[in-house]
Amino acid sequence: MTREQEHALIRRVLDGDPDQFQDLVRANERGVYNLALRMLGNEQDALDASQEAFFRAWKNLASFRGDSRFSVWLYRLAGNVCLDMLRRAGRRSESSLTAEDGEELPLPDRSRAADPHGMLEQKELRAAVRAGLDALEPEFRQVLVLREIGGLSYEEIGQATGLEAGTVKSRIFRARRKLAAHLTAPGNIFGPEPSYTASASKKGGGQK
Amino acid sequence: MRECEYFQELLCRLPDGDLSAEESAALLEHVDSCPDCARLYAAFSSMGGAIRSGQAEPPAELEDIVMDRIWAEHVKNAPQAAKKKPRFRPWFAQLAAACFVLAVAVGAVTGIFGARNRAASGGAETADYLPQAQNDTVYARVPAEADPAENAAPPQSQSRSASFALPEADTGDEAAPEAASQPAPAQEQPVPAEPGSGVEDNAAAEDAASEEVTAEDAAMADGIMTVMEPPALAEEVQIMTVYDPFGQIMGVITDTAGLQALLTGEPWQGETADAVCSVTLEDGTYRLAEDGSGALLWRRDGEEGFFLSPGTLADFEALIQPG
Repeated sequence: MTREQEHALIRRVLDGDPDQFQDLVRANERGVYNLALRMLGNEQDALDASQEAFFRAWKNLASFRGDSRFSVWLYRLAGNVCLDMLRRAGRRSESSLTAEDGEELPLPDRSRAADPHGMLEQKELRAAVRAGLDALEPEFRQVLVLREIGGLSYEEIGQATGLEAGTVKSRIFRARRKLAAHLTAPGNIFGPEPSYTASASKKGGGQK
Repeated sequence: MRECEYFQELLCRLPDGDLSAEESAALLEHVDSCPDCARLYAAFSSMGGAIRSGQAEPPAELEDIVMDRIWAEHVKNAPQAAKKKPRFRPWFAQLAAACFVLAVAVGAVTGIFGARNRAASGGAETADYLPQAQNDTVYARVPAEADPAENAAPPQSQSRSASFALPEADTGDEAAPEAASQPAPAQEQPVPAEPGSGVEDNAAAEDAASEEVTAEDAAMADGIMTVMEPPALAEEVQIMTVYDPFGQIMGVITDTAGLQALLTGEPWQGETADAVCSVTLEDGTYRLAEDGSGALLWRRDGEEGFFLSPGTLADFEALIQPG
């Protein structure tokens, strides 16, 4: 769906035709659901969070500024819903997803260098990353996911998880290290042969 | 390799902005030359996407749960809406969803627009058009007698279709009396002479007579609509800009004869079956052409070809499916 299409749909919804919102649901439900699944860890909670997120999105549709993709706005909203649920599951105070200081930086693009022989598939990498996340202990996964959905400061993650901001930061770092270790183990993002322990004469784009 | 382990550590700190400039540079340089680290780097880069775009299929009932809840809430706020609860999608809703990005010449907005509005609606607020933060339907060009804050679709759509003050719109339906009342005051409004009123200089320079818009101009960007021969262009138009709640521009289009058309967001399936579509308006120049089916608006600069036809539904159908 192009941005124009999104905006056209949104206008019609705001005009008083809620039916049109269904297209927006369809277009975004997979992303929202998976985000919730990553954050909350189980399907039932993910379903609850997803439907709540869409409902809130509809209810607050007039406040969508249109300066970002609708999905981005929606993910942020869904993230807040998930945070609410996490908080209610025994954490603490108010927090919301805002792009504040401490926002995670996107990595500079190295896709050409990373894939000189065209052997890297984004889908493959994402799948490997997800598997790696799933292999993490829940407390590591949680902080990483909260960080990655964007805009959460350490403070906010701390509020969502009951941790100090400093602890959040170190936990994220450790989570990444564990993830990196998992990913670089043979058979994940590299082929079945050992990678980092192999001799220096290997070449190619990582297919071994 | 020990070296790679070191760079892995750097990589784990990179997203938090924790690296010094030297460390960053060293890491990126290493990534550029080490395929393994490059691959890990790529994996880390894809983490956001991996988290947000998952593979699990949401349960089938998610849509229904959401829409049921939305409808329940909607009906609560707008009881009239309970009368219609369709889930059908008319064929050209697809179309409408796909198209209508137009550009608009920035004009002296509130002046002309406000004046016209006041004339047409007997003194109603021009603030009808201005962006509102709330959920009410903002850009409904509501005649004085309707409640602008009302959420219900049917009454508002009806008044919107009535606002298409085109002669062809008066086809003897219930909207006709309202439609008839609109064009008269509109035509009394003098065409403003302000230079910035929306008539582009270059547009004025080119004659309206029979300039042809290329077939490409008429094509939908995403290919849903078929390309068709545009009719001969007639009059120049002035376009007023108004901002809607998204910060996008929507507008009121007039031609030099003082006709007025309002671009709205909803295909109206009422008696008159006006086909109106939502638009996002950007900078550009337009011409209003009439070919008997109503007004057609073509984008002149040729970048994107979209058009809007506020004619009848049958006309609209005929236009987009030539032959």
